[in-house]
Amino acid sequence: MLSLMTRIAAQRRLRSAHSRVRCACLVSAGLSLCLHSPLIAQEPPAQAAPAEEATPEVAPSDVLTPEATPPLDAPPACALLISGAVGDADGRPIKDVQLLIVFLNAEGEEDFVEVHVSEDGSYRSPALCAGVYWLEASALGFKQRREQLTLSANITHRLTLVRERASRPPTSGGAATKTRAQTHDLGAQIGDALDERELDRKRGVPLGEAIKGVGGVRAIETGTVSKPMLHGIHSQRLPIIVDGFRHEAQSWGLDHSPEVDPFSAQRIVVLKGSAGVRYGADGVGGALVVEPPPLPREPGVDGALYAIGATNGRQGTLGLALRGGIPGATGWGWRVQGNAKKAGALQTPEYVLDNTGAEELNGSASVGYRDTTRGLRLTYGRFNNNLGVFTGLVSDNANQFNEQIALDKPRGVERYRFDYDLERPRQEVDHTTIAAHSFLSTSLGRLSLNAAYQHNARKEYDLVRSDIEGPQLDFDLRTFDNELLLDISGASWISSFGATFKYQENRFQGRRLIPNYRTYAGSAFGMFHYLFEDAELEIGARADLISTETFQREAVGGDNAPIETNELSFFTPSVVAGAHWEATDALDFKLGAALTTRAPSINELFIDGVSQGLAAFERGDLQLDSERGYAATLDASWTRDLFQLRATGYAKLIHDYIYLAPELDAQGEVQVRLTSNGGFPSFVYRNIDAQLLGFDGQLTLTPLKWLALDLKASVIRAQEVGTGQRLVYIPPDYYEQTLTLKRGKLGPLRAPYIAASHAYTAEQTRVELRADFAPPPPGYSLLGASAGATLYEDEDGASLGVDIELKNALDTRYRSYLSRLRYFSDEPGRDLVLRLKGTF
Amino acid sequence: MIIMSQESTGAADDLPPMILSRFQVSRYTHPMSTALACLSAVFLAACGEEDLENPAPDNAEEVITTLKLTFTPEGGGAAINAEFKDADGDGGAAPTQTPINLTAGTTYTLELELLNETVSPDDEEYVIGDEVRGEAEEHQLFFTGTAIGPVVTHAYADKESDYGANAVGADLPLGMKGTVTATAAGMGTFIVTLKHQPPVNGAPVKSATSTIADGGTDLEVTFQLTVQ
Repeated sequence: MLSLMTRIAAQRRLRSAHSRVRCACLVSAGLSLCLHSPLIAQEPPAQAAPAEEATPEVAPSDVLTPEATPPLDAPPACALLISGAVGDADGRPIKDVQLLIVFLNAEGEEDFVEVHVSEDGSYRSPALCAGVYWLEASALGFKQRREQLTLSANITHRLTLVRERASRPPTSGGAATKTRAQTHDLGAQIGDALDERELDRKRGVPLGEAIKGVGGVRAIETGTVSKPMLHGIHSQRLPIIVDGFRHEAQSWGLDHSPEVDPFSAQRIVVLKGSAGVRYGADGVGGALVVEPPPLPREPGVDGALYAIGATNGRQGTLGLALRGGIPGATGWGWRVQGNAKKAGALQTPEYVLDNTGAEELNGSASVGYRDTTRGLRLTYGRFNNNLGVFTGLVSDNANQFNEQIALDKPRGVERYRFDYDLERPRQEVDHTTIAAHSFLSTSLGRLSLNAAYQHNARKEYDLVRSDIEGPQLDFDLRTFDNELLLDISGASWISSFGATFKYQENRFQGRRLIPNYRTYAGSAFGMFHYLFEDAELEIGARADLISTETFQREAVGGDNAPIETNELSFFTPSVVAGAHWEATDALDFKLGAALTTRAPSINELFIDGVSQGLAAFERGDLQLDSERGYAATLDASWTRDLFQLRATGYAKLIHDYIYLAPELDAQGEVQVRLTSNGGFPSFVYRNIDAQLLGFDGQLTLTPLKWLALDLKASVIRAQEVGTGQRLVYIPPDYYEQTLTLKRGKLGPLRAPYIAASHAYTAEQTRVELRADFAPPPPGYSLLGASAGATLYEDEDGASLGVDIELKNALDTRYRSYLSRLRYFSDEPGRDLVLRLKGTF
Repeated sequence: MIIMSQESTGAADDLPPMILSRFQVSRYTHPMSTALACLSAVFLAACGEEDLENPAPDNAEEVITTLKLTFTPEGGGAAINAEFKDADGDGGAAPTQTPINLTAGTTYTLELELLNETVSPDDEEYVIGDEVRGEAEEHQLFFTGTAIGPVVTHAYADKESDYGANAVGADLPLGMKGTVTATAAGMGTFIVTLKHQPPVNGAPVKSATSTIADGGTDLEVTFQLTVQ
């Protein structure tokens, strides 16, 4: 590796050269090449042909001749070629590689030509004169590489790029190479990544559902609503990062799905350790990072078309993504994407879940320029979701609620029927994002300036008297996020510094719930990452200052009611440390430790009333303290040819954990709050000390190349420190076994697979009955199956893939502890999903 | 920056170190915050400071603060009143309530009224009873409790058609008017429940056979009833 300063100096020279693309010849003899080289610098590989025309002596066979045997009758001095491939450490091609051939021109200045690298990683230079050249390759997420070549005959040369955050490239071979590559990719951070192929098998379902396959991830569900949960942590404690910015929404609501378009993601990373420094101080449970695909840099349009159908809810989804470069403008690229979904009411084995349909219309567009030294990208995204809330989830008083719990089926089930209509209660959610990302390589390091505006509009329509129009809850949240980052890297270290500023406004209208508020938040952070031969270390610290003003009218007096104003300020520091050690080629360890701080969210401070769909009277508390979390995570993986074993253990101690707990009287009985709708058990948000211990294990056996058995287990224990009281809504023990048969090729099929799975969710026996409304439902087993293959694939990137998935194959009746439906009804039954993906 | 300029109060000193300050101010606009807000306003297209700081009042449409029962003896005499009142709605202060005291051997006409006293009496949402009467076909009041039977009997004395055209199904009772007969001395609970029974998928829920179990509950008040 070149030292940082040399590299940056070279980059600076290249940048100045960019504006005046010059003749790429060294001697006057190469006159014909002089005329062609500006073209070569901009055109894709098919255009390498002009160079060949100019030098007809070079036969293709000569070009492909291995370097060990230079042809006897060597071509003329200025018709030499460098060809080969650029790939990652496993030899796989890398997307969007920029490859430059750098040389000294007649004036002795450094000059270059850009060479196109095709999809399969191969490249071929234009005709060159003999002399000294440097090949310089760079790609997003990889370390830039420069290698010197002395050209006297045609050369085949292979360039290997190393991932930016990995100490060593993942070793190839063995069953679980992919998983290893993924864990490496995350550097010292602990987590899992879902790549495009895996996401394709989950298209058409909400984000929370799509990432459920990752160990330790569950979802809090309410029929149509699915909220991701990681290690028992969810909502405002589990930040979702979309394209580098925190997704800003009314995330505290249990029935508020994250407004993220899963089609916009090329990769979703589930960070299980400390994500605290980069993405905010409060990610005690980790974070979900949704990454869009990079923009292309070369002309040519490609795209993907998705069609998904599912029997349960008789739902259909169509999606189209197009991207391309701009002819004559290397470095520029664009991407547009849109998808639409229509779903009817879901079906349990015995009855329809009335009014659980959904309509979704999402889209995004992005355009930008990028080279090795600078880049700018503008993005617009829109998520629009209308969904029905199960008719049976009526807000009711405690007596009726308790009577319903005792019933086997929802009350009035005989009137339930399948349709696509969305009736009250229902939700309309609209999320718009406008973002700008930019970077510039300076003598100091890589400077990034990013800004995003998010507008989250959520309207909830209760079942009310028929003369009432409009929503009963109307939230309007606008967030303006800015960040300035500086990444400085040396040969074996990367250091990042950043400052962020956030301005947020929340307007609320409707039945009494939360106040309007305005928040200013500023933060500064620094991170240092050091790479050793077989280990890496990461430390970071962050400090956030948050200032919020709230405005709420008192309950009595209508338009003349006085406005109550509060001002709250919080200081939330966080510190993280991580280590990654590759003990041997087979053994890999990661350790993460973090201190995180989370300020109370708006509902925890202000809510005062009966919660919808649950028979509880909830009260917030303005005196709540910030949560301080101390977390340690250990991740170990052992990879052999026949198996891979991976274990992640974690311990979190959350001091002043904000917990909605029943309010007890002197006798230890739950207090009752009287309202005009009867008495409700009283729950208050209070600070407790909580402790969460858990374990995710995965064993993948590959006794044969085409056979894999995957065993997963997730276990978590959570309780209040001191009293030992169990926390509510902690996922029960979960075990999953999947048997997969796969081939690289089978007749006309590419990568066919067939899989069968069994998942057992135990009964949650560790509960405080007082803190819940009903005892936990019994454990259950679900069977599933899936199959798929690529039906067609050609060299131009056109392909057609199909996946079929059968969920809840036996149409098992069950209730889930993490679902609010469990007080009222069963979960949805059998579902057969067909997914088609075509690329062109 | 913003925090530094705040005036600290004594209360803030008692707070744990993690919280810099926390106190209420009647009106607070720091020049810096105005500047930043305006800067950000470039991006916040529909940025209106006015409505942020002057929030709309709570939606009054579904709030019932007050239930009034008026028992008028048939054949004359002073009416007996009972009331449940939660003046500020569900949250905030606890509700107040008065008991029902009737005389044995007397038959009363019972009239109910529902109010939303979070708004002023001239607001159209003030008399929620009117809304209920207007949607008599989707509402029904039920009278239960330990007093019903041993101590008093209740009979409906109104029909949907009393409050408007009876468009759907049978002409069923609503319950805003009734007859209560105090049969024997004793005491017990007298529970008034208002059920909202809107149609599901177009099929009416309120019928001759529907019960207190059907639909959603808009109101449930338990009175102590004594017959002397």
